[in-house]
This record gives sequence, C-alpha cells and structure tokens, in this order.
Amino acid sequence: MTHHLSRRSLVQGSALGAAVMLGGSRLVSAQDVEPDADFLAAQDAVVERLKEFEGSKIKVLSAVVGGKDPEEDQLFMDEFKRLTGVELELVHPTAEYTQKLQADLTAGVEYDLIYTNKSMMDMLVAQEVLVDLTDQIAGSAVLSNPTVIPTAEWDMITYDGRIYSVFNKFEGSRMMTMRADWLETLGLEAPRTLDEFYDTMVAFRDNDPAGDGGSPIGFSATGTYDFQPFFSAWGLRNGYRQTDDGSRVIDYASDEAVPVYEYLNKLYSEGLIDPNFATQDMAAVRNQFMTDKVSSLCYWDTWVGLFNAQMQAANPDTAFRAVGVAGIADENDNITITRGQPSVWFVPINAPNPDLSFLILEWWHTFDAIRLASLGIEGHDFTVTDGVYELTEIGAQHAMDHGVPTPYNTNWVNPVGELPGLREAQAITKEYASLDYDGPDWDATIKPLVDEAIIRMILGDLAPADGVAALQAELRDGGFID
Amino acid sequence: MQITGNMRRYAWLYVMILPVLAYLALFVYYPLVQGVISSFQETKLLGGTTWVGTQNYETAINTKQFWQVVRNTVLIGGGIIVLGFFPPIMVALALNELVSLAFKKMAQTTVYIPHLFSWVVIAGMWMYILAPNGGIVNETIKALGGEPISFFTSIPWSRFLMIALPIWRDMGYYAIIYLAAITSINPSLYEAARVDGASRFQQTWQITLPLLKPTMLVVFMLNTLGMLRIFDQIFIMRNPVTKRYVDVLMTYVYDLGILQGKIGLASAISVMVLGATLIMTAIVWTVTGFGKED
Repeated sequence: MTHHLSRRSLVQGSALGAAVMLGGSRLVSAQDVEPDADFLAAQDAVVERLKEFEGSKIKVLSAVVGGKDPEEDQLFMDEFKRLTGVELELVHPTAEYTQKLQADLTAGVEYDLIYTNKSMMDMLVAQEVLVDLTDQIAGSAVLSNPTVIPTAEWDMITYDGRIYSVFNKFEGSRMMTMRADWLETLGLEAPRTLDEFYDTMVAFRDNDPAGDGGSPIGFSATGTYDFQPFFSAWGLRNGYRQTDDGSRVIDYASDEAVPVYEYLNKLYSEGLIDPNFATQDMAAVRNQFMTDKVSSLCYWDTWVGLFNAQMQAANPDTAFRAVGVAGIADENDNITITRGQPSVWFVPINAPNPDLSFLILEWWHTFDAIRLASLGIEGHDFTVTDGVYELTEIGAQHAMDHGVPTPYNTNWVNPVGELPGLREAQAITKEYASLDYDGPDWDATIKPLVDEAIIRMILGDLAPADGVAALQAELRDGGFID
Repeated sequence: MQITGNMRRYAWLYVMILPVLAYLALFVYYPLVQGVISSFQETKLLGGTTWVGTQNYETAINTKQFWQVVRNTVLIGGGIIVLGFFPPIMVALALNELVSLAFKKMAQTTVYIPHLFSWVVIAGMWMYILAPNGGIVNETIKALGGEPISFFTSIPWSRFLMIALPIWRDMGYYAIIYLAAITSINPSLYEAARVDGASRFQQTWQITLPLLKPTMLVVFMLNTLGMLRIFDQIFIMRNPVTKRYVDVLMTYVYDLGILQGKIGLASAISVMVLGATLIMTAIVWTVTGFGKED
C-alpha cells in the first residue's frame, strides 16, 4: 500500500516555514499569552519574600536541572544567586543519580531540595523521607494557581490526600517520531494504521530516502518501553491495572497482546526493527536517527523540537525534519500515548531551612526561574538587547533545556521562540497522552518479567502465544495477576 | 619492661602503621559492623530503625529470586575460576618461550592492556564487535551464509560472555604474575635437566609447573575470594532478557539496597556472602594446603 503525503499529516513540519533564524538555529515564533493577573501578583510577592533570605544558602541535589557541564553548573549557580539573592550549592552528578541519592540519604547528607521521579518518590514516601507540603501548596498563591499548575495534575503525586513534592516541569509524552522530509521525498503520508506503518518502513528501507545509497532501519528502540505505539493499535497500555471487579490485569501479558508480538516479530524478522534494540542506549538511537540510519523511533515529544533545532544548528541547510506522529489507532480510532512520569522536587525531613526550600519551589514556577531552567544563563546561553532575546551559539547547542524545556506555567511565553515542531508534538500529547498504569512492585519485580518475555517474543525466541501463556503463568505464580 | 622497651624502640613504626589502621577501621571494619547490625534491622533512609531479629535472613532464603542469583553466582563465578585458571599459565609459558625481547615485551603489553580497561569500555567494545547488526562477527557469519546471533540477548551466549570476558580481561594480569614466578626459578635446574637430556616439554612439566604451584595457589585463592563479589561486568552487560540468568548476589544486593531501599534485606544477603566467602576460603585453604611449605 502506498499513500501520499497529506497537508494535514505534515502540519508539524509546516511551522518551519515561518521560522526565524536565531543563534544559528531556526525557532518558531511563540504564541502570545496574556498572563494571569493573580499569578503576576503572586510572583512579585515571592520575589519580595526572597529578599528576607538574601545571603542565605541552599544545597540542592539535581539530576537534570543545571548546566551542561561543571563549568556551566558554576555559571548556573552564579545566575541563581543573581536572581534570588540566595547562594546555591548545586550537586549535579553526571551519572548514577539514583545511587547518589540513596547513598546520600543513607549517610544523612543534608540537602534543602532534592530532585526525583515518581517511581523513586513512591519508595521515599514509604520511607517517610519527605516533608508533607500539602498545606503549604494549598496556601501558595503561585502553586495553587491553576494557570501555573493545572489542579488535576496534583492528583498524580498525591498519596492518601497528602502531597510531598512540587513538579519540576511539564512532562511530555513518548510518541512516534519520524523523518518528515523522507515521507515527503517518497510521497507518503504519515502512517496511522499498522499496515500503513509497515508499508512506510518498507518504503524507507527499499527506496533510499536519504539519497546516500543506504537502507535505513524502520524503527529503533531501547527495550520494551518504546513499543507502546504498536500496543496502541490494540488499545493496550503499559503497566498493570485493576478491573472493576478488583482483579489485576497486565495488558502486555494478556491474550489480546499476542497479535502485537506477532506483528513486532514480523517487523523484526524482516529487518524493520533495529536488532540492537535490547542492548543499546537512547544516545545510540538518537545518533542513528540524526545520521540517516533509522527512520523512526518512539521518544519524548520535546525531542521532535530538539532534533530539528540541533540538526539546523549543525547545518542550516539540512533537509532533516523530524515530526511527531500521533501513532497507531485501534479499531475505534483511539490512540494511546504514554505520558512521562512526574519529575519533582521534594524537601527532605533533615533539610536545614525548609521554609526557604519551599519558597524556592514557589519561585521555581516564576518567570525568572523558568527562563534560567529553559533558556539558560543570561550572557552565556542568551543575550538580551533592547528587550530582544537571542540565543548564543552555546545556547543554541543547549537547545533551551537546562532542566525545564517545557514549564507547566501557561503564563510563560518563550521570548526566543519555540523549538521547531515542538508545539505540534505537544498538541498530540495534550490530545492523546495519559499516564501508564502503575503500582507497587511494578518496576522492581513485575517489569523485569514482562520485559524479558516481550523481547524474547519479538526476537522470535518464544512463539507469541506460548510466550504470553508462560508469562501469565509466571505472573500468576508470583501473585501479581489473578 | 621488655614490651615497653620494644614499643619505645619501634615507636616510629607504630606511628607509621596508624594511618593504615585508621583506614581499615574507618572504611572496612566500621561499615562491616554497621552492615551486620543493619541486617537485623528494618532501616529507613534518614534514620529510624527497628530491630527485626532474623526476619531479613528468613525473607532472603525464602525468596525464589535469591536462590536464582545464588545459582547464577556459582555458575558464573565458578566458571571464571575453573575456566580461567589455565589460560594465564599457558600465556605465561608461551611468553617465556619467546626469544626476541622486543617481541616478548610487545606481546606482554598486548595481553596486559585489557586489564587496564574499565568494564564500561570492555562492554562497549564487545557489544560493538558482537552487535547483531553491523558487528564484525555477525557480518562475517552473514557473509558465510549463516544467521546472525544476538549474543547479548541469547541466554547461553550471555552467560558464556559473562565468564569469558573477565577471563580475557584478566588473563594478561595473571600471566604477568606467573611470568614473574617463572623468571625467578633457578636456571641451574633447567641446565641440569638439559644435561640429563630432558626435552623442552619435560622441563616445563617437571620443573616449571611444579615450581609454579605456590603462585597458582595464590591466584586460585584470590579468585575464590572474589567469586561471590563479582558485580561490574554483570551490572554493565545485563539486559532485560538476560537479567534473570546472569544476575549475581552483588547485583541483587544493589537492586534491593540501592534501587528498592531495602537496606536490611540487602545487608542480610551481604553478610551471608561474607560468611560464604570465609567458609569457601577456609575450604580452599585446607584442601590445597595453602601457606604450608612443600
């Protein structure tokens, strides 16, 4: 089946036409937003209250927020002090963040704020390591403002009615990301069904879309997490859930998942899935995508913009254009996209100055902080001349990501512009994405069993029907499903 | 009086040993004692402990996964000890036979270099070499008409690699130890053997190998001590398919303690590993007669 590129399907790429050149990369003009007056007043109040803490010091353990290297971390700390009057000691491990976090907590190291994700927070809440922030959040004019953080979002990080952390940034979704320029070259539409996806992958493989004589692999991945767009075709979702009658179900281990594994095994057998998918890391996949070796991957929506910005920063004349594709619809035309788990800041119970810690969390959602955590450091990542913001060469390389590429705060307008293709990708997120099913024991105990079976079925080591039956038996034996 | 006199006489030696004692106390014995205490406690991060008796030990030995990792540890650790015992000796004997000094030095350096690489480098290198798509081994297999092998996701192959790669990595290191022992053998023994008409093989079999026995015992003992503590290569090269079949005691302890925050359970298993290591060492010590004069 061959299909033609429709105007609708390439709307994501069309935004490039209106792009402006800034700091060596093309960015899209941001939409104007009228800031909420209550938020602006609350923001001013936070800045005013910060003056009471001028000269104070905080120590923060961060995974993603900060500079891109130790030198920029220092600039980040200096800029933080300039903006808040508070001295920041940023502990920013380059690897093994979880290990560092655990080791420091066990050793009783005192931090004012610590970054973590939902899975880790589940464990830390059980360990009673986090300060209960429920009342402070309810009383915060910044954090309780729904234009800053939509009220329903707090449900994701509420434990028995209590909230122990504050969001770091808006988490996007992992969506199918493809080469829009290749689709255009071959006169194809963005695929929406399994058949269309298969045909597109075959067309990419056989028709040399890059014009370099190569045969790009259809889809690359790092483990099972990236295959959700295919499960979407059967309306299945990662994780486990409870049905109305109270029994526990794991979609990926259900009989309904058998055709997914048959389909994926077919793709694998025909060389349309990267055979290194079970062992490689995401950096390798990104590299393949940006060097014409792979035509599609499943990755964060932000990366649609980052791919385009980085490729254009490297070569302004590049034909490369990534586009987010909504995914593969089920028989009812529903699409299931996985939204990222919340990333948060918490105040540990041994924090030396919890009042200042919370005030910094409020400040984190104001414009100065968002500018720092997205654009970066003024004079280093961007410059401001007569009110006009411009990314420096370094800033363009850092692609407006210093921990918060996409803030929650809807009052914020990026003064530089947006990453090309990002707004359209995020529109897909807002329309289709939702959190995976989750629950205790999933990451530590159940996921390894499910992952092993899925990969072996894709590789052909296990026949899908047998593999699913064996997985069900094992999960039942472990008491994980009924 | 004599003791006091000796202490005064060698006071500077005692002062010199103090940093080492302090280091051992701080970084070895204190964590060890803390680990034993934690193994009887339910420990919360940032303080808060409850005594739970032997509950952590009971939980460990009643968990299916624990016995799976014990089995993996014995298979992989034992495999490294058994299969890795002779290759360094053979390499050392071969190096000893080289006549050209320049070539000998080059060969020594070549076999030793992998020992200097971190496991991250080694894993990356072999994953590249053995990659199903583009790896030199699989491209050769495909060129010869065969089906590519996904080495790192194949359960038997991955277990084999977990044994073979440490042997390959450390072969040069142990070969240098053996080579040093060989060069210290009295040349007159070989000269006497040659006078008696012994062949090269007979000299090796009757002189070199018997005199290498103390070194062999040291190497064997070192490997035995390390058998239950293997971690790096497993942690770096495991993946979702092979995890269950290659995870060893120390990666299990890491998962429990660091990723799941079950400090007490992880400590209990660590204490069991320590106990098992001491028992194994004592057995090897007794069976091999380690430390006794021939």
